[in-house]
Amino acid sequence: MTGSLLLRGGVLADGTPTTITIDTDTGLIERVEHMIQPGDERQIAAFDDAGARMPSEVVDCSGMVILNTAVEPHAHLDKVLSAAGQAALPDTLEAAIEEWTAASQRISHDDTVRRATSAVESMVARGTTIIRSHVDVSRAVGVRAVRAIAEVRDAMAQRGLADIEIVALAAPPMLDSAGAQHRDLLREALASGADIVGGVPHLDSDPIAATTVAAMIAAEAGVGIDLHTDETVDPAMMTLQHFARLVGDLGIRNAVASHCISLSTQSIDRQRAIAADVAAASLAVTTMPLTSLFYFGWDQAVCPPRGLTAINTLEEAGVVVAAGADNVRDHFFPFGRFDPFETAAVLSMAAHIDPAHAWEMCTARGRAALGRPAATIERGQVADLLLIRGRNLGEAIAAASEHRIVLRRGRIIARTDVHHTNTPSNTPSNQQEQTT
Amino acid sequence: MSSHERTVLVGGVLADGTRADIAIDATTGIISGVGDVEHRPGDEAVDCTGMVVLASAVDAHAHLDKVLSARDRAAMPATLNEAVQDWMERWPNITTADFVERATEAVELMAARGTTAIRTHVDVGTGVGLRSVEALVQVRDDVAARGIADLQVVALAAPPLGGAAGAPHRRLLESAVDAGIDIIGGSPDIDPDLPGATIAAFDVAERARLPLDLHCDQSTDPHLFGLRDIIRLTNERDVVAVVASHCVSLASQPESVQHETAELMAAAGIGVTTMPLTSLFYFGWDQPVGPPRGLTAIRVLKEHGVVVAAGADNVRDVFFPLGRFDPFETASVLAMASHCSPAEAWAMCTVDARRVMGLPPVSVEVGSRADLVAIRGQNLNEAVAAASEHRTVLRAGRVIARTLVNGGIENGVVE
Repeated sequence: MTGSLLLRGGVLADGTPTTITIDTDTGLIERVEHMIQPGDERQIAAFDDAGARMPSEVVDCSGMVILNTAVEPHAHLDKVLSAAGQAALPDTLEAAIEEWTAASQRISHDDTVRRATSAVESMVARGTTIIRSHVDVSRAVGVRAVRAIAEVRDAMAQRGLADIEIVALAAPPMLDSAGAQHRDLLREALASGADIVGGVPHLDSDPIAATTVAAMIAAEAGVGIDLHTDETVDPAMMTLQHFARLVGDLGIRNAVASHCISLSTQSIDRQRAIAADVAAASLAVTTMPLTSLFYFGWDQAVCPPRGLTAINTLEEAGVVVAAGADNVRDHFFPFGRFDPFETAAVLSMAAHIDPAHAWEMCTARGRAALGRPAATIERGQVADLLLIRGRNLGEAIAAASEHRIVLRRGRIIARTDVHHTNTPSNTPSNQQEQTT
Repeated sequence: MSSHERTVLVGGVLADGTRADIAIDATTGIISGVGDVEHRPGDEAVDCTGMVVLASAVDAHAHLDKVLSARDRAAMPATLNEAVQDWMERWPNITTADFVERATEAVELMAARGTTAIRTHVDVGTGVGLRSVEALVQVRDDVAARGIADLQVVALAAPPLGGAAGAPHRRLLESAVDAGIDIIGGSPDIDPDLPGATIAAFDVAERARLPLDLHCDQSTDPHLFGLRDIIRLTNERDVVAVVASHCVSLASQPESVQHETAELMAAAGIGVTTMPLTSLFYFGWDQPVGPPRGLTAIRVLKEHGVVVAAGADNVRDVFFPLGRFDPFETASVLAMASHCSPAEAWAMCTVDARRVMGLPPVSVEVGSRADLVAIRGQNLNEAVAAASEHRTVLRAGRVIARTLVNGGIENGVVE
């Protein structure tokens, strides 16, 4: 039996009224009709073959913008929600790591699965359907957390909600005899369900050597790599350039450098030289504006720097830069709405980026950074769609209404209704942000 | 007015997560019980299950004449000056009705999200005359009559205000006083004559017996430092209350200067407002190496006892493309940008903002006026982090807005 879903009454990012037909058997977009003016040529053309079959379901998308779903390129699903309600306020990344390492030893498999599942459901409900999560691999937790998140990944795939990939975040030390156990655990993690090699070389005794070790393990296993890179405003820490050259030399595909904070404190000439190497290696960069503001540079008394990477310089050099939310309500960070529009808005403010461009960094560039095929709203494309209240993309990002519908592979997987009422004596004039 | 005697918020928790019902006298709008409230016939119950009940928020610095002026096209001005020029060119084409309509919509959205008191700056300049001020005075009186918000209208005198060139704007500022504004304002920091503009604003405030709220040092350049003039004049003149908004360049001064300045401000009783969203967006971002954040030196100011309040500033207008009209957005971005706790940031949007605005305190305690926001969450920290739209807002004990959020993952989705 063939089925189809009709999304009626919505607009595209630029505000163009559009009707979309989805083949629910294939999950592909079957037809996209733009309704510009009454009597518009395309509308008439659409009318001619309308009625070929009745849609099985019609979804009223009035007052909503239709977008492709978002991508979260950098989450920590093993840590997420671990401090729900407690509001951890660590002053340094090192302090948070210490606290988390102590806490993580007491966390059960079930607890990790429960928190990660809850987080992924929240992310999906807000429109994120592809998630890359870093997951700790260390002496303290072994590969336990990787196994738990692999279970969540499989369950989410089974439920048709989200596509999750796991980066084995190998703890320092990774070098010499002291690091032997972590090197073994990293290989074990790859055998236990992790997809990609990760690590924090800048916290190792020799950050350059630790970067090399991680890259060698990725090359040897034939998998991608995503390293926490240079998470400090101290310009003396600089592994990014070395990482880029390794990726090129070893021919690693699917390589990401996450954070790259100290790039922004290099001289502009040096930023450009490094960015050129990063671009040449097709090394993508992820930036996490919320946690970067929170962690890096705030404690400098005079002109505290923002703690984000040098986004403009990287983009000018042709590097794909994607944005993510990072830690959410855990031992590392007390905030986060699980909302790609939050990432986009804070990124736009913190880096003075056009909101539409910031949104692209949470969607198309997220896909590109993760080596995923591009997604568009066109005939033949997979219907991974996010509908959100607003008259256009600009208003959708600014208002970030929770009123949303999320489709994955042509199927509605989440729906949130926001119903607003003022008391009868003061009826608001604005109807746009309301439903009845 | 109300047929019932009491309104009782049932099933909610306080900021720390403690269960508490809240009884409000329907006649006075005053909280009469917190905790175990004995239910009586004649109570009107408001379900707050799964919600935290907090004192409502205050926005210490809005621009309700500009608000929502760029809703169809996200404006991306590179500099404040560029935005000011763009805005001033639009003045002749903005009608009173348009000012009233956008400002009213913004107040309604803010009230629905839990902000029940707003200080708005409103332009006064030869290009717009008193049109925007008159419109906002009308909106202030209208929303007060409807019982949804308390507005304070600041007449924001356009530059030039100082020297001979400033005479027309000084006259307009005097006329704005007669038009019913509440507070004298200005932007000495973009005036060709900074000291002259500061003095002129103090002159008018002193004569009118009105408080003063000046845009101050909106630049990361430490050479722009008009705050010193404001401190000196606050000590010399007899002005009801003085607020310095923004104070961006304070964060670029040497540490010792920051401390000296903060100490003098505390002694002079000057309040400060900081607007984290627009500060990040405007000030310092274009510095290629270690771009500064563009916020004022919040920590140092507070250390010396200066009251620092937060506001949202411009929202979806010619100056700034973003903004949810949500005090929880201001609080969370403030906490990220200044590395403070959710509770501290929330206090700057509530308690501290009330102090800076000279409003009586509101709290979730017996005897306080019931200006409240109930929001989904198990405690204040989660409420600030999640900022759910699921809220109920009360002003003076009356429910003025409810937003219900329902749904989530569809059941039975299996591939």
